[in-house]
Amino acid sequence: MRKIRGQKVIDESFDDGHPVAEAIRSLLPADARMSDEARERMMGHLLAVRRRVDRGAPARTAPHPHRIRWTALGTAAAVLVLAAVLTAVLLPVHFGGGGTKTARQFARLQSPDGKVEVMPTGGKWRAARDGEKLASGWRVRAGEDSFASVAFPEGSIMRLTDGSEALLQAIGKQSVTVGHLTGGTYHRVRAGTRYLVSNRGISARALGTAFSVENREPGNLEILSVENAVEVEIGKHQPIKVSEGEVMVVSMAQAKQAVKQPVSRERLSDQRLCASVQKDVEKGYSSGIYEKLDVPLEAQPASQRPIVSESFPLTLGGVAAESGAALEWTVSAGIDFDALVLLRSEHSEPGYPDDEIARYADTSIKSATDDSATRGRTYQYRLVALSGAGVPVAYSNTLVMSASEPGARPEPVSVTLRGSLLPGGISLEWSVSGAPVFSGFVLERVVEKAPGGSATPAGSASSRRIDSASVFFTFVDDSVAVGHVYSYRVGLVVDGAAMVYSDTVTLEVKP
Amino acid sequence: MANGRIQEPGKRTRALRVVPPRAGSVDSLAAEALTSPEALEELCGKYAPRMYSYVLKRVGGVQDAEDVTSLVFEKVIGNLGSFDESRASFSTWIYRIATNCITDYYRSRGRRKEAPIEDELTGGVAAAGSDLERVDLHIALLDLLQQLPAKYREAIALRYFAQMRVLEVARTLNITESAASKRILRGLEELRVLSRGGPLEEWL
Repeated sequence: MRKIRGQKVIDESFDDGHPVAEAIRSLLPADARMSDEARERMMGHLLAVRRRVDRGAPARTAPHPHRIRWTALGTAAAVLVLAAVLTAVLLPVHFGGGGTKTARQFARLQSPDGKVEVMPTGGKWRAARDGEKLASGWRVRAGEDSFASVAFPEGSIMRLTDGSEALLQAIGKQSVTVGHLTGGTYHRVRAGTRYLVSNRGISARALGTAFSVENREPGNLEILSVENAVEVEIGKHQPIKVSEGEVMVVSMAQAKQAVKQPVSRERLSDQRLCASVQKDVEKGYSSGIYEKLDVPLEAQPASQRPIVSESFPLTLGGVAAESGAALEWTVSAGIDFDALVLLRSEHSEPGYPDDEIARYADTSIKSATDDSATRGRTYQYRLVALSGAGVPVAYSNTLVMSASEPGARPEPVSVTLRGSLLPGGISLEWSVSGAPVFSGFVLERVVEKAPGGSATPAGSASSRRIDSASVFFTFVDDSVAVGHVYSYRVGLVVDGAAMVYSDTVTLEVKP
Repeated sequence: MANGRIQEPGKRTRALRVVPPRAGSVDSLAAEALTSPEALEELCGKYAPRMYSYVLKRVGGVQDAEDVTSLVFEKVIGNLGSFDESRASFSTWIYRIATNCITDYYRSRGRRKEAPIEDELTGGVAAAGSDLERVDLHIALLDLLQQLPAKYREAIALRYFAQMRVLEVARTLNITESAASKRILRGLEELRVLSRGGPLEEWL
């Protein structure tokens, strides 16, 4: 909270991170639109009301048209009530036994195939065993040509494809939080679970859905919704819904922006994704968009696979500019239209006509700058092509952009290092922020103090190169000796050289 | 065009055709709606999606949400003559009306306890494609919200259900920003306490 001219002004993020606030946001349904039929009915009703008001009659004189339909819905309602009761009886109870303290929850590793390893909190990587328990804070990784599944206690499943690593941040009775670190993870989320997958400030939240998260392409994070929908939060901005069959690619550069559009059949044919969905199908789950588009679950030969359909009729791109958002678009030759309308929304997917901000009757215009965007806010942009009759004939992809704060400076690149003593070693954990791309770390160690006759006398220095693009990393130095004092620092490797170092951490190994 | 001025970058200098703003603001549109059916239609068209979305989140059932949204606009029509844009923006005013309509809805629902269950299950979020468990959780949250004292309930609802900034919450409730933020925080704490032993305990 700050004061301007003696008046208190509330910081809008004052309730960010409040668990109840977060829970409310996750429990609420996404913004919904009134059906066209209901809207027309309402408008007709309101115009009639207005006419009555004009005549001096009370505003509400007739029963609302919806009430008439209630009786007709009685049978359907009874069926659904019965379904609800059966659901409650037949499905496992998720809400616990009425307020008793819950025991610590564990996930289980299933069907590790190839080189699959786990790292307990503060421990070292070791080979994973089929069926072994995994606790919060553990990491799992699948090596080259390897695959593993993690089954959570409430029924959700995470699948790791080759070259992937994930951190099980929190495993609850009805909630799961996963840190996606590298590669690709696929998530089949049980209905009712609060399920969150995050990667460097980008969070994908789901309730009862299937989706994948990948960052195989440097600098980009891809979220693909296979079934139902997932909400993606970029930083502290409003969540953006990624619907079934849509893919959102978030640029992880400083000014985060994202493009959302229908996924291509080629992307769906990716071998890793197909393998994950195939396992779902074997367990009786729907394959979502695969069924709807009739895409076979057979991997196609690996080649250049466009993430989004190349036949998209309207393509919208852009960058955050000093004066707002600079937008550009291309239109395929195949569509016949009379005008383009630019749509913008903050809270939901922009739709026509509600979210219109500009109309271009001159179809040769291919770019525009939105200088009305409020700085610091995130907007979704979309184009719609209209026929001569004003009917939408094609929509573009959705572009998500944040208008830059005035005078905002790029987040500085930093590495934060923490160390702690373990029996027989020193555990070092570090995290990276502000670096869009890096290839690894160099860990440096200096012996500050050593007893006489030590094999590593004071002043001895050593370093170790670690190839990883993980923004969180844990390393255990088990080559330490009692009575020695060690100092460590971590350098971030960019283009083959250590560019930024962490502060130094010093620890003494006592007897 | 909702206060959106779109400027074309330098390579083209031709003026763009932009949807013309009606007399500059929604507030003046509201004044115009007193006499013009077109302006009324535009005003409703502008606010209906947002209002419906808010009401649906508050009442949980599609048909009830349609009814309450319609009622909100009926009251807007009936009271347009008393709308004073110098005292409150149209947005603030319509959310005040919505707050009263939703309060009335829950009062009348209390008198007809059997009816809403059917409505929620037939027309609620379940019908929109989500699953029954999610509907149950949403309904449980609404039940919990109704147990809050009104001043906390409305602050919470405007902040999270209507996704308002604190300043907007304060204006709608006619209180200071500081008071609004206190009500929100107290409301969150009360919700946590009320959730104990219920289906939302794990969540809150």
